[in-house]
Amino acid sequence: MINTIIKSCLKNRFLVLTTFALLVVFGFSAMRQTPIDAIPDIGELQVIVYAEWPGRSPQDVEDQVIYPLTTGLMGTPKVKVVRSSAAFGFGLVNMIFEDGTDYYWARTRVLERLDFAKKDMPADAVVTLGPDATALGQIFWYTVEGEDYGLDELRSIQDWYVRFQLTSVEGVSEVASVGGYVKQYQVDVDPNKLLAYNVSLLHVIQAIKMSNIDVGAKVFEEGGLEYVVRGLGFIKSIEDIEDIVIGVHEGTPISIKDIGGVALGADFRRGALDKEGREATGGVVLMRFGENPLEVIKRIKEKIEEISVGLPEGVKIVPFYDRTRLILDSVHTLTSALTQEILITVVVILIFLLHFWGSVIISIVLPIGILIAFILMKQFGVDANIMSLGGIAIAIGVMVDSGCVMVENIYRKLALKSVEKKGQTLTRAERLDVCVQAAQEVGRPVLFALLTTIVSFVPVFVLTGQAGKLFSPLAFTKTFAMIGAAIIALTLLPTLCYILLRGRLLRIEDNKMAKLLHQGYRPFLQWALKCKKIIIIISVCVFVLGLGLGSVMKQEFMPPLDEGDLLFMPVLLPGASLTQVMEIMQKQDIIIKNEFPEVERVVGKLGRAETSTDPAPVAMIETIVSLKDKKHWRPGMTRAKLIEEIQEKTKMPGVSPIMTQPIRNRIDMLATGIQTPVGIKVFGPDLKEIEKIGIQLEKIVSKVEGAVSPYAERIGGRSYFEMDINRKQAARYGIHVQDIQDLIMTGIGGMNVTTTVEGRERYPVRVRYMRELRDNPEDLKRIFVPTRWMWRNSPGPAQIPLAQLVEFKKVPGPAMILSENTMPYGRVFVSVDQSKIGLVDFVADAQKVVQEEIQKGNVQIPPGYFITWSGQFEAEMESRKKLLPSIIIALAVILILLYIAFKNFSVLAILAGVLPLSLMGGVILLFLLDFRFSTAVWVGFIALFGVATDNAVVLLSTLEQLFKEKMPKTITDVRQTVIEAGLLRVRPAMMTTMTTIIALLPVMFSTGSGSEIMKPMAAPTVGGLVTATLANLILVPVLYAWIKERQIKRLSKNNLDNS
Amino acid sequence: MKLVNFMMVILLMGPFAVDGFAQVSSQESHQPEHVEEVSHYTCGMHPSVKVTPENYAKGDTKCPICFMPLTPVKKGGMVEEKFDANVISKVEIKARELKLAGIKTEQVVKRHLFKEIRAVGRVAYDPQLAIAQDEFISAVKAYYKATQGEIVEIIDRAASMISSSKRKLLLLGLNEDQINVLEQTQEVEESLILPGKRMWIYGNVFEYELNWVKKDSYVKVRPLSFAGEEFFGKVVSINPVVDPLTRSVRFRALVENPDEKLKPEMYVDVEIMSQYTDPDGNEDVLSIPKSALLDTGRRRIVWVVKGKEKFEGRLVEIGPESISHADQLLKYYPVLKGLKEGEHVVTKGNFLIDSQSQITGVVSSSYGGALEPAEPKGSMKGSGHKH
Repeated sequence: MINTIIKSCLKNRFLVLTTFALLVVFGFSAMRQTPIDAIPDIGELQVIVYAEWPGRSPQDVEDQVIYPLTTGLMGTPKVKVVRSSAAFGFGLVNMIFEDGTDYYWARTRVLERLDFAKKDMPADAVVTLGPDATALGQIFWYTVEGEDYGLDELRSIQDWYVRFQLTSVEGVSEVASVGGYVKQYQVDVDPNKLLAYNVSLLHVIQAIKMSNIDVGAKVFEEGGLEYVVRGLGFIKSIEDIEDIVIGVHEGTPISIKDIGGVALGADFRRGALDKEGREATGGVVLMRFGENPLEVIKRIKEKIEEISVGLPEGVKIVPFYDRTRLILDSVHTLTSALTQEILITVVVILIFLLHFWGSVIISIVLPIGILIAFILMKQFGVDANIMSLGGIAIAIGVMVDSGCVMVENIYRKLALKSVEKKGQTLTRAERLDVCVQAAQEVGRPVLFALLTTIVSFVPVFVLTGQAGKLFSPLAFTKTFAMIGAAIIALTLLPTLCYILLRGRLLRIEDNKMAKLLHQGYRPFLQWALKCKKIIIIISVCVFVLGLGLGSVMKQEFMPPLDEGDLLFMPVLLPGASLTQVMEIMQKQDIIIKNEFPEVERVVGKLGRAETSTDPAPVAMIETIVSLKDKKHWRPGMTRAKLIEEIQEKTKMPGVSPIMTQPIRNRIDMLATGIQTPVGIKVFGPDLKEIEKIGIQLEKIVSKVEGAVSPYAERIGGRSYFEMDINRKQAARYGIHVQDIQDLIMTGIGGMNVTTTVEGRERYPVRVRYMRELRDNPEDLKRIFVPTRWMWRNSPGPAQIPLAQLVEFKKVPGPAMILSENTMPYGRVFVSVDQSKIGLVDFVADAQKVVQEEIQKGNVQIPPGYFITWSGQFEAEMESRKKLLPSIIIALAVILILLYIAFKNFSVLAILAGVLPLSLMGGVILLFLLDFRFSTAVWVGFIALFGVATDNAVVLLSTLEQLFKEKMPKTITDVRQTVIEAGLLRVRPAMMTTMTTIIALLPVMFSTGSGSEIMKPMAAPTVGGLVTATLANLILVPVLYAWIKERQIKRLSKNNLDNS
Repeated sequence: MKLVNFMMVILLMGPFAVDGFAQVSSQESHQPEHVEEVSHYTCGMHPSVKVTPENYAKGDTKCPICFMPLTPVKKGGMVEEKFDANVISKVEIKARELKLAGIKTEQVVKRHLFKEIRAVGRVAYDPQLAIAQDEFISAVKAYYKATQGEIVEIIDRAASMISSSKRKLLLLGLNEDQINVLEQTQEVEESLILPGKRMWIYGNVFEYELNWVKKDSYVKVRPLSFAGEEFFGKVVSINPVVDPLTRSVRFRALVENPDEKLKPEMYVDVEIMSQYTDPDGNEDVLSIPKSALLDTGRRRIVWVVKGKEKFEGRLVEIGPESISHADQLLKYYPVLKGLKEGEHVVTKGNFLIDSQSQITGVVSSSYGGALEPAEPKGSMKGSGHKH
């Protein structure tokens, strides 16, 4: 089949050329359209349902909103697990879907269920589906600034002008406001005056609610005209509210201004923004799932330009986080590495081939191959990012291999033919014949090499969890690039060779480079063939050294990616007040801005932006520190040093200075469940009991061999001030619980009773007791509850102070309540020393011990409670379940392919001996460079495996072929043939390996964003190929000769015996 | 030959390549220095998470709960001392950090403290009482007149008139002393019906506040009508009966009204200032500003300065929230137990110090920080947790 393809391509050269021209055009457009982001989204596929219930405690939110919500949402199709968390004033339900579920399909399913789930909600709880954006969606943050404007005015501009305009930008899912104050009409009621006029707070609320309405009354006709009738009555000013009448007291009307004050103030807030020590207001733009961030940011900036005209004098929109730079940086790192790779490869090919057009033909594989990869990426929905571009980068060296083999063979044959014709120019037909023949000869090996690389990458495709999400784009793009290269090698290259390889072609033997190589290689190989033992001993030593080094190397999950900007995240203990946190944030921001010349901009956020993708509590500060270009840094300053210095200089008691990076943090913030290797989940209705069981388990598990710092989650963390209603007392005064609760809610908490409509803008009207009368427990006692029934001949209901109706308690309580599949749970986290015991074995041991303790009665698990085991070990078990068979299958397929190619087991044995040696080179280089074993490194090894196999196979096939042709009978003949085969292959072998190694050097020396992941991935290939090449050129011939010599010896011995 | 050259190239490249990674390796080389000083790693939001440096090196670098990177805790911050019974936690914090965090301290001193009760009231307009007083005075006068005569019957009748009108006065809320005064002055208080130089204020307090309203407690009266003006006086008497209509108890206070601004039936806000005395009856009591106290509901903790950069968390027993005589805006707690005069307590940033004590300090085994519930004893002894 391949032969027919090659032949028909060579016959229809015009068709081939035009097809490729079209592919190039198509590829360019695909490349432009592919969404580019910095890193792939490694978060789980989740749909977030956000429930807001302002002012409510975590416990209330859990019991009354989240629990009914999750029960309703359970049973959504394709949902893996439903996790929820209830915090102060809001709750989140994370619906985690099976990987591969269509995002919008999943959202629709959730929406369907949500309709049903909402029915048991309290009326004032607002449940919404989170935006259709992922953790990577926060691409652009900005502040709205203006010298002469108050924070409430700026926030109004942001809320009612900027926000909606930016939301209209294509590709934006949501624009959330953060910081500043939401303007609010505040009615502060004096309870003493209520008492004096004998009106209740509920009257006040009722009165305000009934004083804010516009109506329409159809039309009337007059003089042939129609008049639209309106009744105007919306609250428009403070005076409007002040004049609202509440009731009549002894003949005089009482209005709001008689019982309290009305002022414009700030709505209750759970987030604030600070720019270099000054409070600020701003917003965050969330990009829709699957959009191209670069394009979206570009459009946002255009929009900002557009709407800036309409901003009030002196107000401007200033970005403080912009993903563009990171994306461009990391793309630049890779594209510059790619261009360098391509250039270097071309140079290497030129040196080895010493033929201009030949080099051009091979090099053409790279650009067109990459374009084909982009076409395939677009078709398969793989986005461009560090990982996927990285896949192409590590493929570069290997991509040209097939081209090299193809062109080299055609070149050789053409040169031979022209030598045969004694320098006469070949006719067209002859050239075509030679090309077809030569191409067909290597067609199968090229395809074979492609298959082995693809098959060897199968284990990467089956990686699950975060690793899978991170590396599968890489596996895809590498495969795509390889497929592209193979297609080009089989179709386009022979055609180009036919067209371009004309004129006098030097014989390979006359090529200066080849001569040099031969001169070096021949004596060395001759020597090696004589001293086989030394070679084998050296090999064994290298192998053992590699093994030894490999066993002492450190492990890590992923090398961290440098995002450029820093995210400084000082956190306080939960329960810290907004004012306290704000003070700390401002002080730290000032220090960071003033004392570090490296810092361009500092903007801090505490608490949440108003989006469901930001569940940060008030005690958490997230400060985005934008750094200047490295050339403006103080001499000798490094990123690590800078981080350390910032942490040191901003140190304050009670504040933990965490330093992370914006995207990474966003992914972590939205992750749920257990991220330690092993975890025990204790489910049950009561948090205190859960905690008790958890702590018992913590103690038991700590005794299990291999357990490292087991830790049971503690539920406390926030102070609650509880008002426990004394029902007997309330009954005595004829007061319902609801009467008291309404007062607690409005009087103490304040309630937005209505919303003004002022043109486009809407502001809440809030009723509350005066601040100084409700701000501390003593004053809370004097909140009056009107009795429901009047006493004999009294003029109005009596007003009973809260102190006589409720018991006040300060108690510690949960800051957040977590549940999974509707059941609250506590977690016991366990790390495992995996050098002592495997994860899976550890879990089995621990489970047994816990089971025993439960049976002995040392741990009591009351009815209604149960424990399950979970954690990353599940992913590992799942990976292992898939990884092991996939590695076995990959190996088996490769072996079968090899067997089909050679039909000879001794060749397979040689390969099996040589390949581990190649891998050891990688280990040694990793050790020298002080890299750790990470998934990236493993992927690098898998890539190396494919290349190393291919190289060895090419040499072995030549050896086989020559031995078949020559049938050497004596040991000298054997050695002669081996050397001949070696000499024949030394140039292409060196060429392919050198292109791969040298092509990866730009990656190894790159320093920009994204290089942290690429370096460990490239290192095994570079190091491995060095040993692989040496092994290939020396050990393979030696082993091969050794086997053949033994065969001959046995044969001659047999012959002797026979004769 | 070429092969040898090639190998040379590789060998030469080795060190070069290592240089290329200087950035990475320098990052790594910081690690060992840290390990020397770090006692353990913890999470800023979950300080009960404690990871030993050995485990940290093995890859336990994130908080298991929130997945945030752990922060190192240096040994310097720890104070190795024994605990007194009422000391729950100790911590050492550098002066620079204290300054940055805006920590403020204040001396524990003795103060006169007052309990403040807010009440509503009105300026008395009480013709009933005026008439009752008038009746009483007439009865007294009649009695004197009668005693000048010798008719026992009349004297008896006049005496019984006195006692019945006296009972009426008592029921209307006057006390014996007041009645005695009235008996001597023999003047009906005009201010009960018309503005005068001294006015009666009738206020209502609720049952739960009764303890704090005593005779001679100072009162401050603010009419709702003239904002900002204040009138002063004293509580004179407290009604013996709870009013069933309002569920409150009426008290009477007499306030100075020099410009006769207070008019009968005016609504007024009343603040009653009642002298605080400790259980032994002392008026001069040890006190701390309200902001110095961390109240968890389970414990009340005060952070005490123990020398430069050293702090100690102490359990205290306190009295009710009160105000000082000197500045009525500042709120204080009388300290019954746990502090000595002259000690300095933290009045600003004590939450931060408490948090820090949980991160780096030495915490007594039963204390989980101001905001964490007490844990069963010994639960922190899990092998992974190291103090």
